[in-house]
Amino acid sequence: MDTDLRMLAELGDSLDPPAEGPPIELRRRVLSATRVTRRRWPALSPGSRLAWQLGAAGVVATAVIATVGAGLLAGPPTHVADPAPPSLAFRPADAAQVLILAAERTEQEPELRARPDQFLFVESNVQQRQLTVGSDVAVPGPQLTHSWLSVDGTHDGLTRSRPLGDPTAAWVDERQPGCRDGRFAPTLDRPQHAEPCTPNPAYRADLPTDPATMRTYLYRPDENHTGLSADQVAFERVSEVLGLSLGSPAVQAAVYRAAAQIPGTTIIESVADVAGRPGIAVARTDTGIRTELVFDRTTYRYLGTNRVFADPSAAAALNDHGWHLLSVSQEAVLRVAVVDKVGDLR
Amino acid sequence: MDVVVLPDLSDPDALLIRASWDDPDRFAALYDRYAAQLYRYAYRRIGAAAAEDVVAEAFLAAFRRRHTYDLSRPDARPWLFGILTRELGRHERAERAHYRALARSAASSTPADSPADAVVDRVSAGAARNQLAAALAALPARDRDVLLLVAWGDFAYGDVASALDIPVGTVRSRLNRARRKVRDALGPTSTERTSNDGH
Repeated sequence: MDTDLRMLAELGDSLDPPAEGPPIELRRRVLSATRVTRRRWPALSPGSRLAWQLGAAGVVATAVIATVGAGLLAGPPTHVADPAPPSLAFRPADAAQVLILAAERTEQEPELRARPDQFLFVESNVQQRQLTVGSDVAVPGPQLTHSWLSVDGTHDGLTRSRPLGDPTAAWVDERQPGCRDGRFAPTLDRPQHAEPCTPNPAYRADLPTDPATMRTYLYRPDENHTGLSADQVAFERVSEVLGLSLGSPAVQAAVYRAAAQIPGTTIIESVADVAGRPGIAVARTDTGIRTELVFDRTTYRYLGTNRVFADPSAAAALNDHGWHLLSVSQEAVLRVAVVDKVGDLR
Repeated sequence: MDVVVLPDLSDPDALLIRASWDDPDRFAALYDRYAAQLYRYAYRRIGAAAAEDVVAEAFLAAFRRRHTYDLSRPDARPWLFGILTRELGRHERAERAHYRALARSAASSTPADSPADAVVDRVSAGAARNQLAAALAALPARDRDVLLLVAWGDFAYGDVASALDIPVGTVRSRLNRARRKVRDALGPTSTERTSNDGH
């Protein structure tokens, strides 16, 4: 190479920035400015909308059955067979960084507005396997679930499910009775028989919106006496909170930020949620079960949660802890919308 | 059994840009591919303080113009660096000040070819570095753009032409002019020969 170009190259090398990549705030700054402002939290998430445009832009994810079953068996992380991750330049350094990015993303979303008499419609995929001590009962699945949840908790809602791969299968319905005047009727055949209750609103006004308070909430005492470490209980409560805060980005951002403080979390690069969407997971393992919070690898939107056996001896260890700990499950929310009545899909 | 069709995660840039026409969130993938190298290039030219702003402005400009991207070009790197170059053009004064500051800085040590020449080399290398920085400051912006896209961006002449939307002949003439000035600034001792290595 000629001297002038060689010296220019050396000068250039000496001027390089110190860090591996650009400042993390740069990404948030660029992507928040490019994000389309929506009046409502998206009724169709970008991932699921594109799912029905086969081949259009070369980016497709459709529901899958085969790999979900495999994900429940003991073994290595649920892998999506892909040639290379898309983020060639940017790789999150650690699990906390993924969670912070998820928080920053969700903070851009507007709060979902709803009237008290409306319903939150949630479309999700769920795979649930339950073990009872001494036996192994597998629930066939995964299931496609449609839920209509009363916004203020006083109106009767509905959850229905059917096997995901079989559109001809009948829906199995489950009423979600509303709690009115402190009482709700738990059975259809005895409508006069009511039990005391407090409303279970789809919109929880009581969940914390700041990370410090949220952290306290995550670390509150373990009433179930699961025997897990406090850090693991806190971590597993994250997806619980996410499920309770579907219309509330402020709560979700707070729980991501609180989760970023939980020690012992790892990144798993290629993981699929139960709907087959590829992502990157923040994971934590305790007593042989690994809980994975799955995020879209590009946008860091939360996709779903997997709980899988981390090693084959986990099943044996679980027998000591009681039945409610033995379920291994996967869930993913595909769509959320505010609707006027049960049965409305948009 | 449903067919699993998974995203091709090594899509060419053109497909990512096309996808972003329908879904702006897909633009993030383009950011993830190129942010590091664009930032590094901007950082070299303009320093820490302004690099982040310039790269942000470049990506936003690219986002706003994504519908005009020529999808027949699978590789968006020249397009992005062209947009970045335009943004850098808005910060010309800052860029010159950056080079002039470098030109005044104390000579830094560079590896010597042999221990015996270490002292001499270090002094002359440091001095040369300063002269080089001064030369960059003095170049007209257009010539500097071409020179650095070649020297720091590793672009071939054709890609520089497409990035800056100028004919290849113009790329050559600006590059030659810039290199001549750089060689003059470095002084007679550093000009061994002048082969024009083409791309």
